[in-house]
Amino acid sequence: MSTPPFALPSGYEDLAWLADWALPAEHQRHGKRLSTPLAELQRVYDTLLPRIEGIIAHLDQFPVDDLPAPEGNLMLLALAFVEVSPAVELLHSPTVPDGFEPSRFRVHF
Amino acid sequence: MTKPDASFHTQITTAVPDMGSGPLPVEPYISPEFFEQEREKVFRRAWLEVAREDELPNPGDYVVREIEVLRTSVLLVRGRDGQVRGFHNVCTHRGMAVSICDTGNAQGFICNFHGWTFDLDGRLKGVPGETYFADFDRADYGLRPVATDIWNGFIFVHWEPQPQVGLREFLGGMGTQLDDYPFQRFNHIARYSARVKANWKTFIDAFHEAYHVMMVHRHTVPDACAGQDNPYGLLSSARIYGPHHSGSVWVNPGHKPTPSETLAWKYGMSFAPGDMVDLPGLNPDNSPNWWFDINVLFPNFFIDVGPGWYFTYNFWPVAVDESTWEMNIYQLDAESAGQKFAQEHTKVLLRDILYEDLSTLEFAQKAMASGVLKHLPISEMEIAVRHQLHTVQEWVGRP
Repeated sequence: MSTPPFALPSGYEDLAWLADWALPAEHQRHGKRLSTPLAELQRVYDTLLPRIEGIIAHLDQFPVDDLPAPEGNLMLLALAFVEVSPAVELLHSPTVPDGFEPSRFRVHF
Repeated sequence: MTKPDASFHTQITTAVPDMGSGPLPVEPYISPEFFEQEREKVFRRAWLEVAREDELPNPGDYVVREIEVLRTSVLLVRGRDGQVRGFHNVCTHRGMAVSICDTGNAQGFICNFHGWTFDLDGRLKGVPGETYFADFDRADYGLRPVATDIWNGFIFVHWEPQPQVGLREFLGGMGTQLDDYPFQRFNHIARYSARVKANWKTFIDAFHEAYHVMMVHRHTVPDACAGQDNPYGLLSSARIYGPHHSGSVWVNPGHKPTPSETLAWKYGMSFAPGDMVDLPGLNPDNSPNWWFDINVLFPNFFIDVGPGWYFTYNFWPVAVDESTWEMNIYQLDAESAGQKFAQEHTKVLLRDILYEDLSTLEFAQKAMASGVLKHLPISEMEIAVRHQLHTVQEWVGRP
C-alpha cells in the first residue's frame, strides 16, 4: 500500500519536507523532539516561526474541530513548532538540561 | 556581595499557627516508623482526591485507582441513577479484583475468579452455585463501599466508612476560596506522571514555594517570578486554612517573553506570564503583580489556578522513600486554531518546567537518608514547607 502524499493547503506546499513532524499526539511530537539533534530542531523552528501568523490566520477560517485534511496537517505543523520552541528558545538542547530522565517521565496523550 | 533586599515580604492574610522558625527535622522524611504513622493517621483520616467527575460522564462509566498508601484499589462508578459511588475493588467472595481494567463502561462487574456478579450500585446480583453456600444472604456480600464525595467536580474518597468530617467541612476556607472558580468550563488537555525515589513530602515541598524558580527553572522561566522588586521569588501573598494553604506567585513585570510565548498570548492564554484574566477564585488578595495561585489541599493534592488554565498534582506515597506523581492540565475550550496553539504552548512549557522540578528530589532524599543532614533551615520564603510538616506532625501526634 502506498502512503498518500502529504497534503498541505495552497501556498504551504514548501513545508512538505516537514511531513514527519505532522504527528497527532503530544507524546509523539515530544518523542521526536527528544530524538532530533538541535541543529535540525533549529531548522524546523526557523522555517516555521515566520509562517505561524499566516498559518493561524489561514486555519482560523475553518472550524478547529473539523479542519479539512490539508489544514489538519498544517495545524499539526503549528503544534510541532510549539514542541520545538522551548528546545530552541530556552533549552538549547532537545532535552531539558540537568532535568529528570525522559524515559522515566510519562507523557500520557 | 550585595546586601539582600529584605523589603519584599509575603503578605499572609490569614491567621498563622505557631510553627516556630527553627530548622525542620530530617527524621519525618526518612523514618519508616513515621511513614507508617502517616499511613494510619494522615492518609487514612483525610479526604483524598482521586479523579474528576468528567471522567465518568455516563451511567456505567468507571475508573479504578490503585491507592498504594491505603493498600487498596478503589473502583469509582457512575450508577444508573447518575450517582458516583466508590467501592473497594475487591470481590467479597475471595478477594479477586472485580475490575481488572483501569477504565471503561460496564452494565455491572463480574469477578474473573468464580463469576460472582455485582450491580453498578454494588449489590451482589449473582452467585454461581449459590445453593451450595450454607446460610448465605447476598445482601451481606455487596461490594464494600468507600466513602465518596464530590466538590467542584473533584471526586474524593475517605478510608473511614463514615468520616467524622464531611468533605466540604474538611476543605474549609480553601474550598471557599475556590468554590466559584469555573472548573466545569475547562477541558482536560494533558496528563504526565512519574515514579520517584523520594518521600512524598520531599516531593511536595519542591512545588509550593517559588524560591527555587530562579535556580531550578534557570533554563525555562528564570525571570518569571523573580525580578528587581522581588529578587528571590517570594510569594506575593499566602493564606493558611487549617491543614490547607494557598500561595499567590508574584510575576515579574520585567519578564522577557520568547517569540513563541508572544505568539501564544496573541491567540490565547499560555502558562507563560501574560495578561490578567478575571475569573472568580483567582488572585484572592488582588496582588498587583500576579502570576498564578498554588492551592494545596492537605495532604497531597494541588490545584494551581491561572488565567485560562489550571492544573492539578496528586502526590502518592508508596514507601518512605518512594512516591508517584500525576499532573493533569485543564484549559478553557479551544474555539480556534490560534487558541489550540496557545493551549499547546501551555502544556509544552509546563511539561519542560516539570522535568526541572523533578530533577532535585532523589538527590535530596538520598542526602537526608545518608545522615549527613540532621535538619533543614527553612526561610520565610518557604512557609508552605514549614506548614506542611507542621500539619503532618500535628495529625501524626493525634491519638
